[in-house]
Amino acid sequence: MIKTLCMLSLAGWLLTGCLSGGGGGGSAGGGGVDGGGGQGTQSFTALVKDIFAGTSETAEPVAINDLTITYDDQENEGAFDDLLSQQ
Amino acid sequence: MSRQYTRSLLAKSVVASILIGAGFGSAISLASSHREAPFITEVPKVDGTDFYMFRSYELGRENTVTMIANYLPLQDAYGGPNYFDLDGNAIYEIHIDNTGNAEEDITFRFKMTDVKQDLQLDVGNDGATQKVSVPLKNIGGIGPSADQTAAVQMRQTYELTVIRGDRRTGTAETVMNAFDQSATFSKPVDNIGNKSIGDYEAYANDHVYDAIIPGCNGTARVFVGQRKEAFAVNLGEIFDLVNTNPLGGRNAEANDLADKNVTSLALEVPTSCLTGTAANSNNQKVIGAWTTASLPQGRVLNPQPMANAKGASIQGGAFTQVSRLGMPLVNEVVIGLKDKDAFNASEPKDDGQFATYVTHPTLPELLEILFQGTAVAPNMFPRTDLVSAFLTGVPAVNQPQGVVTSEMLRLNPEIEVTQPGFQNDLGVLGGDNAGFPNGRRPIDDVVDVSLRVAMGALIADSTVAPNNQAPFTDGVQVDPNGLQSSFPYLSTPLPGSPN
Repeated sequence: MIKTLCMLSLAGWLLTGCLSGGGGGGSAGGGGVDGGGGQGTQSFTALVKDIFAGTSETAEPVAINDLTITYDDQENEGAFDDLLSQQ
Repeated sequence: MSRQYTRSLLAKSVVASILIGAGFGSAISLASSHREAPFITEVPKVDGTDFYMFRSYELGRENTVTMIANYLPLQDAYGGPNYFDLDGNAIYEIHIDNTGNAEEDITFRFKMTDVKQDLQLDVGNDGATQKVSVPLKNIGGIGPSADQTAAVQMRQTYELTVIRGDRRTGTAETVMNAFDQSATFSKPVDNIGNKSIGDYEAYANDHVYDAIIPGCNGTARVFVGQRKEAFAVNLGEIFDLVNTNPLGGRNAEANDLADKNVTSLALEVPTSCLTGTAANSNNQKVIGAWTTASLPQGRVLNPQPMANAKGASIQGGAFTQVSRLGMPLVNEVVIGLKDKDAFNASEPKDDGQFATYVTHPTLPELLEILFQGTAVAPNMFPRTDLVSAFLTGVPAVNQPQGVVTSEMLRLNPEIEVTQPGFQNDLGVLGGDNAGFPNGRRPIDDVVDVSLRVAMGALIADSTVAPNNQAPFTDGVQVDPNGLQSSFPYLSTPLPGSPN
């Protein structure tokens, strides 16, 4: 069975950037950030897509410590197909 | 948990029984920064292991400073067929603070690129052959010149960028390769073995490049590639509750790293291009430095890797620091286990969060527990001696006036070099101010120095620090014959074959 797996570097948990880094790009997984400064609830899929949207040598990582992350795409094999087709 | 309770607990459990057969002796476990934090063990390609910085002692290069950042620990030379490439998605950086404010003023950023070619053989009966890709890294000889790589399927090149100001938002300029005026430098293939690379030393030396740093008068030199591991420690015993004699002979034990290679990012820069306003009380310049590695924050595994399209994963997002190394052994034996990942992601300007680990260190207490009746931890808190050694620099040597307390390697490059053969591996503690902790040279026995300083070598009052004269050691010294006296100073790596 084809399974799409996603790993998110947890190193960002220390960093103090705010959740504006992703610019809200691609929230296909549903659930955008509903709190400022990295607070609130967001789906893991959307978070990853936000992180990818913030790709830049001058960007700061997205802070995730105060974010409640939901995992609602674990059975969705195509959750990241759009990322895989864009890169 | 209280100190008394901790001691009691440990004493009643495993420690005492282990010590029965060890006499007074088992030291402390130290590897400069090899696999020191939980997360970094998952990403060894960005695991910074040692960081050296010293006034160059190669003849004619005394007006330069050499910095060597080692990554990817514990390489067994025979580790084919892929060996030990660095991470093409990562950035490897060396940061310089030349104002004493605990923030980087100059950053040198290395970014690797994979260079691939699909080598195929004609396989099949005459007239009906098929071209089939080979599984090996190389299918023929390599070198001795850097461009003799036709038989290599995958190698790496890199670009080097100098950034002045903030490491992410400062002014970035490309360091140029003086050899061909390009922005690209080549990294030698690892030392696969003598049949693949007949003269590895010559091949590697052909990858030492003169480099032109924008805004810097004079020529720099750069080398990135595999080297023989220079750090020395009896790693197994150390992490087995110091299962050795910490007051034994300084070179009486086996160096567990003697058969390992490592990957070095070495950079020699004119001193005047590094110094700034930071100066000690004698108005001698001081620079602070540390190395970091960062990965893109996000990674998505590809369920269908394609040979000519996307590989096993894609990565994206802002660079996120996962490795940090300045002074040796800090994250290894000073920072508490729960905070090691945090330390690796941190910056010196925020080191106040870790201050307690230095002012109230656990290492001396552990030694006292392990070697009851012999090892006595200094009874002085806060440990201002350790603050000086690790966080501010030594007064009148490498402590900038007005320094912001922070952990980094600090160097006074105005102190005369000590030539190889005359270098004291105990550095400043041994009367050689050109050595650790005034920077760090490959020869410096930072384990022994750190042990002695932790047990109070810098505290004059023996009633406070009863062990202040004790010659603590891990029992292993760096082999000077395993070092070079010229850039990049670390020796040709061990070959994968014959072995």
